[in-house]
Amino acid sequence: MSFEDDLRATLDSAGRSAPAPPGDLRQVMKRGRRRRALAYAGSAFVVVVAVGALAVAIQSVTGGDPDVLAGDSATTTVPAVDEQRFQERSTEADGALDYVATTAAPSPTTAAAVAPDEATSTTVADTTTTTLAAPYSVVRRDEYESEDFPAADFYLNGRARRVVLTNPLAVVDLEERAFLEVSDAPFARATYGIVLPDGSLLAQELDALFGATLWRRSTDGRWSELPPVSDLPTLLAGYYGSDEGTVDLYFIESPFEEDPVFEDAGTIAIEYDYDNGTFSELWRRADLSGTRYSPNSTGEVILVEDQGVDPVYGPAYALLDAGTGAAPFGAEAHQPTAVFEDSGNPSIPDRRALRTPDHAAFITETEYVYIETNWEEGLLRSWVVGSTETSDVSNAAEVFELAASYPVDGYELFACRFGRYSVSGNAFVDLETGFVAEFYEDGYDPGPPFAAC
Amino acid sequence: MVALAEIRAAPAVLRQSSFEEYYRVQRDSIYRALLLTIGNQSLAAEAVDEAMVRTYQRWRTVSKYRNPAGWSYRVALNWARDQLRKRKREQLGDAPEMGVPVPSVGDPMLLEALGSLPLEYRSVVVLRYYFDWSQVQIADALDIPEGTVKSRLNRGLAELRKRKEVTGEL
Repeated sequence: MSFEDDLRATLDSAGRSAPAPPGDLRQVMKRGRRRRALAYAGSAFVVVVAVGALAVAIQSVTGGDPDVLAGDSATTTVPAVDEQRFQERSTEADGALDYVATTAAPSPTTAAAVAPDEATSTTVADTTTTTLAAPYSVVRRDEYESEDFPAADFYLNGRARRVVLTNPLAVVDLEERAFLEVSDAPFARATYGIVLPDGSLLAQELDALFGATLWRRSTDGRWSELPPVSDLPTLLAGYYGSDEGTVDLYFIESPFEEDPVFEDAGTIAIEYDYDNGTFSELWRRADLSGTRYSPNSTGEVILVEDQGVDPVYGPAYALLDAGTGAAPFGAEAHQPTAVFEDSGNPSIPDRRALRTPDHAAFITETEYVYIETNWEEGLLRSWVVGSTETSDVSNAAEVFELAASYPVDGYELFACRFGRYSVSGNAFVDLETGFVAEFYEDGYDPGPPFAAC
Repeated sequence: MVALAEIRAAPAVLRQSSFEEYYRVQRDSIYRALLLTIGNQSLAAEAVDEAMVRTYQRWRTVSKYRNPAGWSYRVALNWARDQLRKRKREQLGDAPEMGVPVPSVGDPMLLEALGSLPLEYRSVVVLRYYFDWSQVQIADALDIPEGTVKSRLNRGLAELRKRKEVTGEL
């Protein structure tokens, strides 16, 4: 019997020997709802920042008639809400801001008011009224059909959308853009939107149960539907785009490091093409968390970097051209894991990598890796500079002691000192060419990658 | 009890429209695969329950996937991993001998060796040799590139051979 046959037979036998626990479907569903409710109650988490020309109001169930409020300039009453937490932030975006308020769990979101015009002086916490103006109006809290979670009727420009509404409700500042998420969990419904500088709003209602609709309001007030982007409820975490470019990139990720509900919490990059009005997904990676985005000095290229908070998968990198949305380093850039993936080792602590926007040095399970980007030449280089198999990596976080970039004799050098035990050295990389200019070592031959350079 | 052959034919079988049927066919097998992966019976049971709830909630979408069982398995695996992380455990399911029954056929040392592999290797090996899924199916299920599946599988098997030999010598 071959090794693989032996393995197969062993797993088969072990699997057969394992009694499956009772699994009445109804009971399983009940337990799931209970678990989820507990998870939400424990995750009283609110993110509230607002920028841009977003105006949304969420009114409690006792609020006014949405038919009156929606679509017109109107004054309405937003009832005061107990235990409401909110932040406000003014902007210079044409006086078009905004208050967003949410409540903390376990009390679900009950009120948020955003006034898009001069009425911004009104605060939600101190008053029971605020002025709401078109095109935004009221989201009314309501009770969803489920026993566990509330819902809301979400009106934007007179168009009613029913969404499940639980924490978090979030609006994130993005360089005069704003991002709104009304997230659900238990019924896989969520809405997110992006407010552009001109005040137009991109929004997507994600509804895994009933089909997703992506829609956009143009500056003339007309709405148009766009192709579905994703079925992942997410939160926009970063934005990069050229001012005059025709494509913007939006990076979306889950707000939770340990999302109690969405196993798909991760990162999505989507692009919006102003010329064609299209909105498409570039790539996604579901198993990343803590993703950061580092544009290069000119903002032309982005190094998308996972921080490696996942002890299993570790960091991953991808590069995208911020101006065009293209992947200058090949199609693989749409799949960050294919560009570079640290297979990781649970025993290696997090944040073991040192990096600059252009460089990073870190450890995989079996290798020391140095990654370097050369923006001018459109190159992404990565080198394996050593093997952990020959050294003690139990304190691998300390292996990389220094990573710095500085000019020496006309060269922009990147120094990476690695090694704590059997391996140590310094690599100096010419950033103009991407080549290693010099290498100093302390009793260790770094091997072909550097030697070849 | 659902025959393992059913889940091995997963992509075809799972096109059934009924979630209840999916649940009946897949649930126990996914549980066993997860148990083999994480080596913890109670956690595996809870994770599969959770995964099935989420599968149900998204059934309209998930049912269209090429391999819904792969999705459910991934959900369960991620959920279990999160739970372990919350419990501040550094290693994932590093003691499968505490949770996986001793096989009546095959080599128990292999199971022990499997349990000592990193989780990402373990999951790939289990999906390949327990479910008999192709590398493409595994890549799809775990949402990783096919190349990653290959490398993990190769490394996992190599490690398994090495560790089994070491265990056998002890």
